[in-house]
Amino acid sequence: MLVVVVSVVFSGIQQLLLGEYRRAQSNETVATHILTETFTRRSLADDYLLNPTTRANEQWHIEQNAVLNAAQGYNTKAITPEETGLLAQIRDSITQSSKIFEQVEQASEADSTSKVWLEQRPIFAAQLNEIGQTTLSSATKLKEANTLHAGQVTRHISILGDVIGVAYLAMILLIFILIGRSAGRLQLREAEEAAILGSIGDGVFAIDTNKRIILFNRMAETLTGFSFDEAYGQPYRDILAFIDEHSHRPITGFIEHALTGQRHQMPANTLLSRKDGSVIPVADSAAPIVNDKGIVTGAVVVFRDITKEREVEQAKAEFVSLVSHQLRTPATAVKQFLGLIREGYAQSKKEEKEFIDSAYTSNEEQLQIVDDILSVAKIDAGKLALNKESTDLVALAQRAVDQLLGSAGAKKQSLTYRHPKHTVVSSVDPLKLSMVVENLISNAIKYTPDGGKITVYLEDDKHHVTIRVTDTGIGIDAEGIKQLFTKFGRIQTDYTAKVQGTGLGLYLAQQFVVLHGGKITVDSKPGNGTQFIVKLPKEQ
Amino acid sequence: MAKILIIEDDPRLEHTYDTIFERHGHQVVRAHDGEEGLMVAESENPDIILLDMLMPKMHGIQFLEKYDVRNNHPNTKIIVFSNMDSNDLQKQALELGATKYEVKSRFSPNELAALVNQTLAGRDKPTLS
Repeated sequence: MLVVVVSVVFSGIQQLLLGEYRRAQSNETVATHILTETFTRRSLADDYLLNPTTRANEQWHIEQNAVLNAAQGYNTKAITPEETGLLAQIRDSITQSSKIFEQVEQASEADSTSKVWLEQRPIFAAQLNEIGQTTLSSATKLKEANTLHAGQVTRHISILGDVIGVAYLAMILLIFILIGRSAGRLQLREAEEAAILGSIGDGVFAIDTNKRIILFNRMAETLTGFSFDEAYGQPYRDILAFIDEHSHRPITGFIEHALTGQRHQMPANTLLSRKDGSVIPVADSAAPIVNDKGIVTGAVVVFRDITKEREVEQAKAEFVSLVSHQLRTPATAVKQFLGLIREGYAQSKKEEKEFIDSAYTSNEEQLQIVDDILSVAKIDAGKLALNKESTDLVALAQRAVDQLLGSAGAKKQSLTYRHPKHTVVSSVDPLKLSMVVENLISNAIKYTPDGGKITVYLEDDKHHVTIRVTDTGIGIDAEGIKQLFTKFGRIQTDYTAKVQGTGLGLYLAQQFVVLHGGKITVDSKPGNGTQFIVKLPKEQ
Repeated sequence: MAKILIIEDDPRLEHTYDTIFERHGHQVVRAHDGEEGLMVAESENPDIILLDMLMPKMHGIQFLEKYDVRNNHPNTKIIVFSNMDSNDLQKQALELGATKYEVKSRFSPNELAALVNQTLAGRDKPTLS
């Protein structure tokens, strides 16, 4: 727009100046013409005065007309006062010369050889010469004025040319800057988009309507095993081998649907066959690429590796299955013991009481499992709170040891407790901390062969209390240690069913210790026993 | 009277089964894990085995694989009696020759006794339910 306005303005000014220049030049030519014709007329007047023939007379009149015509050809548009004056002088001198020449003609007609003629002739010559001189002088001034004006206009045109040049240069520069900025922004945007696409944690690729790959981000490279250079421009089916998990048939429908303008989810159980032949489970969707005119120009496909999601789902399913089993086990015991009474199996009051006690204990176990699961749910929701009270930890650990002496005894294991003689008082949640200590001792009993040795140590210094549970059991390998405190850690090894348990005990123990501001660590090697260390800050 | 092998790691349940079957006049032999169960089964040659699934040392499925009831003990019946309510496990167990797969918590003492007696009488064919 700016360019158009500036161009129109410049063009107008230029036209005006050029018109002015042409007028000056034309008038300069006219003035020159007047000069030339005036010179000729003067010469012809001299000729006539010397020899007043009809021919010479005609010649003079022709020339006089030529001077007059020349003067009339002067362009008076936008004429200056000086020019007006000079032009008037010229016209006046032409009229004057005509009048004088009429007198010359009359005189010459009377008697061309007479004395009077001969006497008058120099006078006429002088008069004609003088008037001719006036014409010449005015014409010369006009010529000079026009030459000067033409020169000035030329300079103006030149200056305007420079101005236009500079202006156009400036505009071009401005346009380049704007384009540059716009291009810069575009480049920046493209770079940003490329960076964003590259950083997306999901695989992204796009195809045109010819189904050739036009975009392939870094994660797509990682997931497929193909590089961008290998993928770009290739038919997508050659690079992205989506197959059905069960039939292993190619899955392309969701992409083809996207090319018809509909967004589509990748079917469940889709695998991606990678460049190296390995497969990974993937999920997500394909969407049409629609331009600003609403035309589908391709499709963009997002896909992500759901191996971990599947593992979590699997672990959750196994967890639910295991928890159900663990809840059913004491519930079954409750049902069986009560059933024995209800269906008349008890043969004495003593046996009946024994069944009731067993049902009661089983019910407690069942409730404990429910509590554990609720604790996990609370931890997951970040809502598990501690009910702290000033507690003697020496006594707390003693109670835990006492409770489990029976279990250790059943496996002919020695369970020893070593502790300071003084009380070790700290502000803790006694129920949760008891659970931690009982869990560690109970695990030590479970994972230590019959006849093994389990020792519980309680030590303190000014700022910390440390409880260590050591055993001479089967130990744990490095991989096992990694899974030890995870919620589903037990699940992976549970199928081999070495020991029963929900796999929640150590997870909860760790969470409880962490809530107390402490730390639980493990030191173990397969076959060399295990030591769990709980270090808690001492709080008054 | 039949000889029943109870392979059960939970001492409470083992005790209730003991009580029930003895009251019904059966002879009871016991094992507390898969390994021990295999040993006792080989030596005692029971009429029927009440087999748990999740147990120390050897899982119930491993027991079935090793015991190979169809080929080696065609006269022994096996009731998988577990609280693992899993279609996969059930299918696997029945394929490995178990006569039945039942979920413990669904049975009262009398119902359990009836289950064993019916199985011994051969009135039930292997089921997937």
